Amino acid sequence: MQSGDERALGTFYDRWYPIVNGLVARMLKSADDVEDVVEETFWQVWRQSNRFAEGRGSVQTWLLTIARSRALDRLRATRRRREDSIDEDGGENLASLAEASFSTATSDPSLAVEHNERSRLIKAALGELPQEQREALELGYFKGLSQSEIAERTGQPLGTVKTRMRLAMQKLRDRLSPLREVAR
Amino acid sequence: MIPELSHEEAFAALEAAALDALDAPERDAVLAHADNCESCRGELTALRETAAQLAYAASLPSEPMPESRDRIRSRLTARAAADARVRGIVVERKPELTRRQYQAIRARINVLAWRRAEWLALAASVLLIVGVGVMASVLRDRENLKDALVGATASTQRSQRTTDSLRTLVMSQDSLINGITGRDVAMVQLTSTATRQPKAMMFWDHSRNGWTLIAHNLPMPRAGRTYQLWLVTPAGKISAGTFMPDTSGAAMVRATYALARDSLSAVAVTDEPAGGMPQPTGQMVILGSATK
Repeated sequence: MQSGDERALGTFYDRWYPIVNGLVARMLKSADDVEDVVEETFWQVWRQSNRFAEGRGSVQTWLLTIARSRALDRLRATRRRREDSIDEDGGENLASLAEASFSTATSDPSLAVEHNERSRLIKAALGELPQEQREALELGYFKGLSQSEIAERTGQPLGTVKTRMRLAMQKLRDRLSPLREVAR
Repeated sequence: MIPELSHEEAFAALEAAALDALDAPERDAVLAHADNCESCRGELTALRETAAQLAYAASLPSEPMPESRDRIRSRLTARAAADARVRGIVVERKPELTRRQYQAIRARINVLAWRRAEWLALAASVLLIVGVGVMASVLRDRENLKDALVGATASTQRSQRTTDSLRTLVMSQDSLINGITGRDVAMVQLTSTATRQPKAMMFWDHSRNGWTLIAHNLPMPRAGRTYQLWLVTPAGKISAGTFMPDTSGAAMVRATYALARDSLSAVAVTDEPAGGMPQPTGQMVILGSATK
């Protein structure tokens, strides 16, 4: 892709579309917004492929960070435009995700197996977290709320929210460390 | 102006920074510190890898939406090709043939094709006779092979899943063994004076900032309560996670936290409300002093 070959972008897109689309669709309601954000994510990857530095993290982290940032931009813009209450966001939470089955939007069987296995391990790790810690992660990662916004929404002291988020991330990091090695 | 944070303050906010869950001024301060602090930068990279994994907790749409997928793909590759042209990027592809070279190759292919056709006609006559007899047998075998293929595919997928799970398990076990037997590991013994004598050992792997607590004889906390592990330093008490013992009272807790070698005073476990607390509020269960 760094050499400017658009076919490389096509191959990259085929490999990563399912997970990027899944993440963005989880964060945004409108199918049009999802399509726009997915396209903008891969377009940013194409335009900034020479900025990717392997020593600073995996391709997966780089790509998913871009996807989440673009989705958060859209989410915040939509909230501002509609003065939408986050209480109306609805949708799944991590607790229900932990039990949901993972269907794959890919026709590549080996990719589907990999996604399913990765998803299973992550949901198992999430399932082991106390509900309060899972909620802090859910609101931070998928809803894009800051710790002070989470404290305001849940009525918990800011210090408590910080502790919950910190403990949750430490546990997840420990449980998912083998996956980080595989993702490289 | 970006406020300056101490190492401890910045380090404690790295998890939230990895989730992009800090308010802008705090985020800028943490990132400014991490830019100049190697250990915080490494920690933040690792935590961002963890945060990215959360994307896999989002179920993918049950309908693959091929139209949307293909539409985006077409637009992207067209935009990329146009962008490459605008930027004057020349992609190395196989050179195209001249018209004369093309015609010469086509003529050669035609000659070879006719010769091959004559042989093929003869061979086809022979094969037709033999083939009719063989076809019935092949049709039977085909059904058997299809069944075998379905079984083999399922078996391969099962094996792959098992291999992945075992690989994950082995890596996790290796990490644990290194965390308690490495050259640079210190140990703190935690004891109690209670009747049932809960006891624990904390292994501190200096080189990887890894902490592994192994505890026994812990009574099950009351409903709505949990155990919380603390690293006690002169500057304050740092939470290293909440945990619950199993039915036999045993527990193992693993955490990662960078601490200067001489700054650990003690390790403690307290009884706290479920979800944990920023600072200890409940009863001390076990305590161990760090020997320097």
